[in-house]
Amino acid sequence: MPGKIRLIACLASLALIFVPYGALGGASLKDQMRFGVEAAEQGLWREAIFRWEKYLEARPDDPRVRNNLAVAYESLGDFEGARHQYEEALRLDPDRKEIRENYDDFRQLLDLLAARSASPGETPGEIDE
Amino acid sequence: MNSTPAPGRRAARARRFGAVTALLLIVGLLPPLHAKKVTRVNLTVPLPSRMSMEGLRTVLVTRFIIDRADDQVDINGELVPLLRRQLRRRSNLDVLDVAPPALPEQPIEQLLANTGFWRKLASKYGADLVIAGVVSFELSDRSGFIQRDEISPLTGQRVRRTRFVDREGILLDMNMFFIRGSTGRLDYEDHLTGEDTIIGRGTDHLTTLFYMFEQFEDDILGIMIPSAKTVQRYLFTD
Repeated sequence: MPGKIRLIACLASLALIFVPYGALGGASLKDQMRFGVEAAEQGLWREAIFRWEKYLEARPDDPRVRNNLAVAYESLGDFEGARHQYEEALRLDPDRKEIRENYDDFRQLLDLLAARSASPGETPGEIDE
Repeated sequence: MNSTPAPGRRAARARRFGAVTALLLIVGLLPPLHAKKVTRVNLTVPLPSRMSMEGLRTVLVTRFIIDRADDQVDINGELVPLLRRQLRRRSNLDVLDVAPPALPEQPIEQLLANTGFWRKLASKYGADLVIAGVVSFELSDRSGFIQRDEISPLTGQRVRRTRFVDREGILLDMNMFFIRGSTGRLDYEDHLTGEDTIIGRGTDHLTTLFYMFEQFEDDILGIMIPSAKTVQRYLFTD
C-alpha cells in the first residue's frame, strides 16, 4: 500500500514538471499569446492581432498583451491604434521598462513622420500670370 | 536473513522520499526558469508618402535651375534622367518622357508664386505634378596638413607627425519643389544637402555626382511614394 501511494506521488510530481506551465488553468489564453508571438516572429501580424485580441477579450487589464497589440498595429501602419494600446499598457503598468522603451521609440517614429510631412511649401503670395 | 528494513532506516527513507517529492512539486509548480518572458522582434513599419499623391499620376520633371555648379558635369543632362529612371523603377507614376522644359530665369520665390505659369506648363504636357528644383554641385580643394599618430619604425614609440594630404570636398545641395498641375500651387518642398571629403585628387566628377545623389534618392522618392522603416520592439511571450 505505501508503495502504491509512493508511485502515485511520483507520477503526480513528474506530471507537474512535464506538463507545460499554465496548462493547469487558462491554457488556451496562454496559447493565444504564444501563437501570436510565433505569428509575429514570422511577420504574420494580422494573425498575431487575431490571437492577441482573443486574449484581450478575456484579460483587458493585461498590459503585456496591450503592448503586443500596439507593436502589431504599428507594423501595419495603424499608428492611432498603436498609440492607444501603448498608452493603455503604460497606464496599467507604468514601470515595465520594455513597454516604456517601446513607447519612447514609437514616439520617436511619430516625430519623424511629423517632420517628414511638416514641410509643405509655403507659396509666398500668389501671382496669376 | 531478514530483508525487512529496521524501523529507523525505514523512517529515514520515508523522510528522504518526502523531501524529494516536495522538491519535485515545487519545481513543477514554478514557471520554468529558462522560459523567456520577452523577445525582441524586427518589424517593418510602412511610412506613407510625405505629400498627398491623391489624383497625381502623371509627372513632369523640368530642368533644374543651376545655382552653383562644376563645369565638368552636365547636371541637368545627368540628374533629370536619373530622377526619372528611379521614379519609374520604384513607383507606379507615369513619368513623362519629354525633353525637360527649361524654367524662366527669375528668382525662384517669384517663379513659385506664379501659379499661372505652372498651370500652363502642366496643362501643356498633361502633367498632374511638376517637379522642379535648384541645384548646386561643387568640388573644392581641401588639401592641407594633418596631424597623425604613428609608430616610429626606429624607436617603436608613438609619435605625432604632420603630413600633407590631398583631399577634395564635394557638396550637393538640392531644393526640390513639387507643384500640383491643376492649381499651379506648390504642394511640397524639401531641401537636401550633403557634403563629403575624398582623399586624393582627380576624382571623377560624374561618379561623385551620382554617389552624392544616391544619398538623397530615398528621401526624394519618399516624398512621392510610400516607404518603410525597420524598427525593433519588445514582445511579451507569455
